Amino acid sequence: MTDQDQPHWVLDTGALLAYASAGEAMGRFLADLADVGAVAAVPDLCTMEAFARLHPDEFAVLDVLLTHPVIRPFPASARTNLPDLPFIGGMAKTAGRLGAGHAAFVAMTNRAGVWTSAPDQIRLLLGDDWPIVEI
Amino acid sequence: MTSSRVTVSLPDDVAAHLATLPARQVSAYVAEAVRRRAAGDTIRAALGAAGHGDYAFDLAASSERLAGPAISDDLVTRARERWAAEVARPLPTPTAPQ
Repeated sequence: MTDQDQPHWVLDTGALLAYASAGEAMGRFLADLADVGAVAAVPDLCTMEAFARLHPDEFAVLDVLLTHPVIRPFPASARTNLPDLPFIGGMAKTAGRLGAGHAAFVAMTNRAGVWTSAPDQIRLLLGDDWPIVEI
Repeated sequence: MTSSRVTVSLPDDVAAHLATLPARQVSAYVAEAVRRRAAGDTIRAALGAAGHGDYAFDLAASSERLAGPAISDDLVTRARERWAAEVARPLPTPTAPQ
């Protein structure tokens, strides 16, 4: 994996919803990523939570983002990732939300910051000093 | 992957830079640059469809805004040790992206 392929940021559920609702900071961030050829990590459980909060009429908007080269999806349930599941589950139990658990796990294992609308949950899992952008 | 031969006119300074590259690397160099701009164009199309406004292309400003977050070794170690203890098993190697 080259440095350009290594995500330095993880998009939690709230970040995906901010994109879908035209949040300016999120849009600027995604444009920046594309312009420099960088990527952001999107954990599958965050994607599922985002779809769960959108109306089906809005699904296509998220579909387009998820297939764009700036996004690196991180599966929760691929066979090769089975050892991750106890950690994601343990984090989710502590935070009270599956997406927070998966976002924090991907952030921890990739040394990446987190864009989130729930900074308290991420800090609870990764500590007060972990880089977080609240949206 | 198939390829097509394309003739373009470039400013002298750009052409001079390409001339410094090994001849067999010029096409790949140009292709990478075009792909990067294409990624910017397609994300802006996606953003536009989601109701976003326009975000100007400014590579220097983008690079500055995207400076990676500072995450110390100590911070990572503390998080990993905490979760290895809480889940009572060693952490797996980092997950591979799809």
